[in-house]
Amino acid sequence: MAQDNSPKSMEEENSSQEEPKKETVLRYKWKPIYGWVLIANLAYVLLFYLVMISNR
Amino acid sequence: MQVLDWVILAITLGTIVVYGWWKTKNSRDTVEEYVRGRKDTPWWAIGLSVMATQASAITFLSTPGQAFHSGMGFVQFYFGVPLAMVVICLIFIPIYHRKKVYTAYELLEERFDTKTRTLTAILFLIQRGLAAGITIFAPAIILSVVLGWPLNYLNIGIGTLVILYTVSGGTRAVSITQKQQMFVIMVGMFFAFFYVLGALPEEITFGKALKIAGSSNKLEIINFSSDLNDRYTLLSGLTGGFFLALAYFGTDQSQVQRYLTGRSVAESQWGLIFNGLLKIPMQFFILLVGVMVFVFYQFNASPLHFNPTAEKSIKESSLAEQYAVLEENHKDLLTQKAHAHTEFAAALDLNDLTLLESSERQMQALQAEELRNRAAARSLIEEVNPNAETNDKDFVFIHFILNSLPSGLIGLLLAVILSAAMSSTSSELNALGTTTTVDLFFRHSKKELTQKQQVKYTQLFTFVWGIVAIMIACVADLFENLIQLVNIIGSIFYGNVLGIFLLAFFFKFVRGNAVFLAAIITQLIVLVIFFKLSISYLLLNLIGCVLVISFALILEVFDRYLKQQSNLET
Repeated sequence: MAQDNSPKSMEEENSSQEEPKKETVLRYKWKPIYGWVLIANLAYVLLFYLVMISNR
Repeated sequence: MQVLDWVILAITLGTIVVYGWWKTKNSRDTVEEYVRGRKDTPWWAIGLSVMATQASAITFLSTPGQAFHSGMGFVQFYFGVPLAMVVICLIFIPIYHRKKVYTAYELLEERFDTKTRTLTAILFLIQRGLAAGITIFAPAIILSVVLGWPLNYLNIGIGTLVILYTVSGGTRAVSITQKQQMFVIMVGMFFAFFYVLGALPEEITFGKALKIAGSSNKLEIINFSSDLNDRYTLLSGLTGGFFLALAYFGTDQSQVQRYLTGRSVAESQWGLIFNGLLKIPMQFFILLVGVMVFVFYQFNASPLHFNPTAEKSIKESSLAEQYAVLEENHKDLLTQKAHAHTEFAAALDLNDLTLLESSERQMQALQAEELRNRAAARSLIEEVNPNAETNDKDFVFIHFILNSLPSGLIGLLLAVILSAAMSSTSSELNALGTTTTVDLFFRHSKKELTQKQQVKYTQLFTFVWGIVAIMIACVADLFENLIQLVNIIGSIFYGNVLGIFLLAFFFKFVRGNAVFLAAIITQLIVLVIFFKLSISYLLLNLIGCVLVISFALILEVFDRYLKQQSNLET
């Protein structure tokens, strides 16, 4: 943490060689909006392609 | 520039700076508030802040010029951004919030160790510190060339304004001012767009302007090629653009600090989704402004070369006569082009396919002739000064602003450019000050500090980085191609930093010592590759990322094997 202004002791340094703590384990939570973002990205590609070919 | 422009420029910038300072003068009671704001920023303000941080002055000066010369294909570079936003929302943001970090690098200590955190923070400081100087220098050099203002006054002026509110109010000041800066930027760009449309000949509607641009290959937006030599393709945008966006938005403190101000995980995620959805249309719009400026110059006189310094040097040289011949040819071409375009527009109205074809062929021939003329002018400039920067794309839009816009709008557009410079610089100084204080000073200092003292130190380091940025901006003129140099330095470090974060998130069994050693080996190899092999510096991002992950995995497996062996022996 930012307020922690004391350097780590040797013990603490060594403890970092242990397995990662549980809190660093990833927890994914997919939300529908992410799908919409990807669809929007595809829509941009299609829209720009249409703009391109219709003005050639 | 007339009095009205000065008034608009001074009022716009003055209001933003004073409002930012005044509104946040009580935001420095605790280091938490100074560094992370009050954790009350709504998602839309986070989104604007993220966009304002990325959009520097050079975005608004260079991008329209890029479209003017090379068309709109550059937009493909941003197709990786929405994908990166989804990954950051899924993985990076929940962890940053859960660990309540002040900086992205703090997380690396939790996951690995202090030395890995310190190393990554130092890599960030080197790269971002240089970039902050260039963020000030890049618009200053262009404005000084076209307006005749002293370069160092501009550097010091922009830097001082940013230091004033960033040091005073910290992250909240950055966030509050960026909302207004983005408002000014968008209003200014919309005005410019509608003005240029209105300035086209009466018979040239927006639809016809698009047709003219299309027939001149300016609307080749999507390139499906898989040729790695093509710089902007759909493939390079979705791959290279994705990696760059992931590294920049996910691990660069100047961006991470923006979305850490969100009141919840969801607000931060929505802020980045906002950026993911709007970034591409925004870049498309800026490029479209450039394309409309191109159409405008099909009917109005433009200089043969847009960089006034380069033009002046050739006109004062022994090749002045040859250049004058090219200029005369350029003038003749304008009359012919205007005629061909008007004929093309009439053919569109009449739906006369024969006339349409012949006028289009004529337009394309004239366009090719103009390109040859401009290339010949660049060759002459190079002949006079082999080191001269002959790419004049940075000067196209500012030339249009100063020579074609009415009084008032010139002041507003200059406010757009300076607002953009200030918005990205303030984020950078804020992040540099925070990282120096939190990751280096607090972490390694043995002093017991009160909250007030911690805030004072953070302010001091932000101020120091502001001065460093101004100094870099002031000496930047001594180097050729410094902007490219900064991009190269960024690419040398970015891949390594991204790799370290990916190891932290995805490779649970890898521990601190392996990552630290792998990061050092990778950095040395990337430096050797850069100096010894002539490969595109953009590839260094990918190489650094792959190398650090591979080395860390090998070292970890090796270390575990050795330990296992020694355990068996004992």
